[in-house]
Amino acid sequence: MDTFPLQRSGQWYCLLWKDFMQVRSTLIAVAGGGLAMQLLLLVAERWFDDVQQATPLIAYIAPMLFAIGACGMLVGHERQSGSWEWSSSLPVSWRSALTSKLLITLAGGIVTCIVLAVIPVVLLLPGRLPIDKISLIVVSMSGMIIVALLEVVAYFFLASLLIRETLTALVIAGLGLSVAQVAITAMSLAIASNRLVRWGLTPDFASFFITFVSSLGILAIGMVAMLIAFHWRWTTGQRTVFQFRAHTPAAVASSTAYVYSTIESPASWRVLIKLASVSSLWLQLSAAALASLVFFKSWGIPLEFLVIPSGILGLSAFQGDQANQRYHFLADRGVAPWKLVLSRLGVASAWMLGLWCTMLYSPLAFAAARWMPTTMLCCLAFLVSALAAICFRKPVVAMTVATVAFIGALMVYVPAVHYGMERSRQLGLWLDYESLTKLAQLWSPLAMLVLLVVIFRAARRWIVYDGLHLPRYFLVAVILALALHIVGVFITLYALLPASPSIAP
Amino acid sequence: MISAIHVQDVSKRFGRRKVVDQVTFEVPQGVVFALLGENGAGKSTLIRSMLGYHKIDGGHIEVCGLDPRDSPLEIRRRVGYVSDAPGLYEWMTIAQAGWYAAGFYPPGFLKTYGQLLYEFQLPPDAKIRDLSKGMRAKVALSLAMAFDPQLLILDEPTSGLDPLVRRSFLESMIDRAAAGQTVFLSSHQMHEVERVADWVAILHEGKLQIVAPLEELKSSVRVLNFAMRDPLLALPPEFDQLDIVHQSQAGRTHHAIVRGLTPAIEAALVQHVNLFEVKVVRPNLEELYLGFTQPLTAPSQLGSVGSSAWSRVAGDRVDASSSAAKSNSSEVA
Repeated sequence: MDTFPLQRSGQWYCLLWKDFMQVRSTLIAVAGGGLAMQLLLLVAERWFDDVQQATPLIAYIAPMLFAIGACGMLVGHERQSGSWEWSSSLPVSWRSALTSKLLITLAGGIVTCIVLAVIPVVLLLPGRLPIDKISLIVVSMSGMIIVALLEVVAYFFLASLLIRETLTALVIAGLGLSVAQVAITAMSLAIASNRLVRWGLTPDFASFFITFVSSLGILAIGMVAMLIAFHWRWTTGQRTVFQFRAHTPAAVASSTAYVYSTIESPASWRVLIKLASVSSLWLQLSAAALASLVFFKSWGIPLEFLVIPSGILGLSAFQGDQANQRYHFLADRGVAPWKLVLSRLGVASAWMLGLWCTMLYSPLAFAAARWMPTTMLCCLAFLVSALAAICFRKPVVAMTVATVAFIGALMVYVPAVHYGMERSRQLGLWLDYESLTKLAQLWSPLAMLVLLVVIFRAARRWIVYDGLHLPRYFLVAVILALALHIVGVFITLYALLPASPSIAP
Repeated sequence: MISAIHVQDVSKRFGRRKVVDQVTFEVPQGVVFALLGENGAGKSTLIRSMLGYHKIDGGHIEVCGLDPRDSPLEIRRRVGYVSDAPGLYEWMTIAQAGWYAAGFYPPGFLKTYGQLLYEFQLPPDAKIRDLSKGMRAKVALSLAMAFDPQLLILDEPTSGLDPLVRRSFLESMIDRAAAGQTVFLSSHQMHEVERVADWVAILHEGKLQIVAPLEELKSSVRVLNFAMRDPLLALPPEFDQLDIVHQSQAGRTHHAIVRGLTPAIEAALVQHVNLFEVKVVRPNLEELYLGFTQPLTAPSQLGSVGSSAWSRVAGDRVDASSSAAKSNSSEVA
């Protein structure tokens, strides 16, 4: 055995290769998904006005999404899977490890941005803006993207280094960064805007300057904190826990809760609900806090933003169970899969319900007309995420897949349904456009039912047979739900609604 | 000559709990050193402190002549470490894991790694995620041994290995020690440690109970069993001359692990009028371990607790205590 299939390489090459391989699938998913969305937006221009203008926004947001996923994979997932321990036992300095992770995250973000900037820059802007203005937009956008990317990297790395559950860390980091960015910028604007205008700057430039300086300040604080946290984590290993009381591993905590509850009462339902309530409490609290941002009307966050916390609540139903192998503990004790799923979904749904009830009595009542579509959208996001959390072992992968699948399904669904409605109006159906839209939404519960059934079906495989072939379940379920939804809408439009010659054009 | 590991008055706390308490020992070069202790005794904490993962609260550690707090990287270049739960990258193949690790060590890593894979019968192109627990342990061991480290630190190295591989692995540890390398291992497998260890240290509730060469320890310690005709009479005065490590009593029978048992004292005990069935046995490591980790009980305080200790310690003499144990269990019932 004198030969080995691979030749030795340098330290930096090995580190960069390992980190790239860790984020490769995230890069493909985000860049590919973003590109598909841009192409669909180009097609959707036929039914919606000015939707093509959203393509630069995708080029701006996608690098951030990639950076969030990369933080989750390079820090959070490494810690959860235990590979951080092995990696830090090798003779690698914390500086080299961090530099490699940062380089891969930033390079991936920039590559994503370049790939997704092709359509807006090449196809859209040249016809509408002069070339010097395009250059200015590209340069200013690049600066903003790099600062925002660095901010995301600093805060998401920091949270993943301190918090054990990857998904919880990402949500808390997102929440913290958003609040810090908005609050500090608003305060800075209130304090310094007038002064800068008095010094001769235009209000727009003063506002831009203050926002930029605030971002740099937030970035500097985040970077310093992240460097300290990374050094501490790398030199002390993954087991050291930043908390105020003694460390309790998840499996022990679960078993303790189980035994404790069993002593109190032998009812398995109580035990399961207790486990479901404590297992993702921080994540669910963070999702609720994220949803509460919608209350701040002055921030101009649309009601549809609630899809994000709904998706997080869906992920929270089963997140971490696969990585921590908690389900083995329950499976070994003969817990029925449907009971487990019902308890998990029940607790997460209770959070959703609480959220909606709060919204109902909030100043958002003005948006009552939009309740139905938003509710449907949120419920679908919740179920798609819950199914992804069962079917994919890594929380970050589950999050990415759920996002891509949900947005992808929407991008297929919306043009398809609008095409159908356009055709039906040409045929002279008696319903107007808005009524047709509402009718189409009535088929959403069918899609939800499909997802729910598959969740229960998948749960059996997940808990009893160790999760074999579950990604296939996810793919089939999403395609089936989408297809049934579209087919249902088309049947309603063409078969069930009679045409009325009196209203027909 | 510099010792491989030098630990001096080391203490480590987690919150209010003292996990390692004033531990001092030295590991000579070229030996197999076994650290024994129950779960939660502080073995892993001590090992991680030696590698620089934990900042110790007091004392001093030197590994290969280096302070882990000042030179953790240099120590990791010289020490091969396998943790109790090695977490490898699941998406890598076995070959890729070796290639990745080889980047951080001098040339020659991959050749040795390939040989180790061949010895352990590991397929280089298999993904880590598809391996069994035992195979993962083999990969982790191969990665730790492939750069020919000065010192090999293994935390529960044989857990998950099948008996054949376990045997060959332990034999390779002896070969490594013979070649001048030092092997420091923590384990619960007493009979395995006994076969390979030159030195043993026993850690109990964070405190070091004993550290000594195994042969010296076994030759200086004896298991002493005897029965008393009249249990109400005092023990013979010769008994007080012994250094008692552990003592227990079940009815008329006494069991003790002692040091300093000279032929003269042994003869005096055998000829004592109140004693009969006096047996002196050379202890095995498990008996030594149990003796050093169980609390020393004064003969006057001995009772039914002693009988359970007796049956655990003297596995081959259960018959002698079974009647007492049965009577105790019937009392409990």
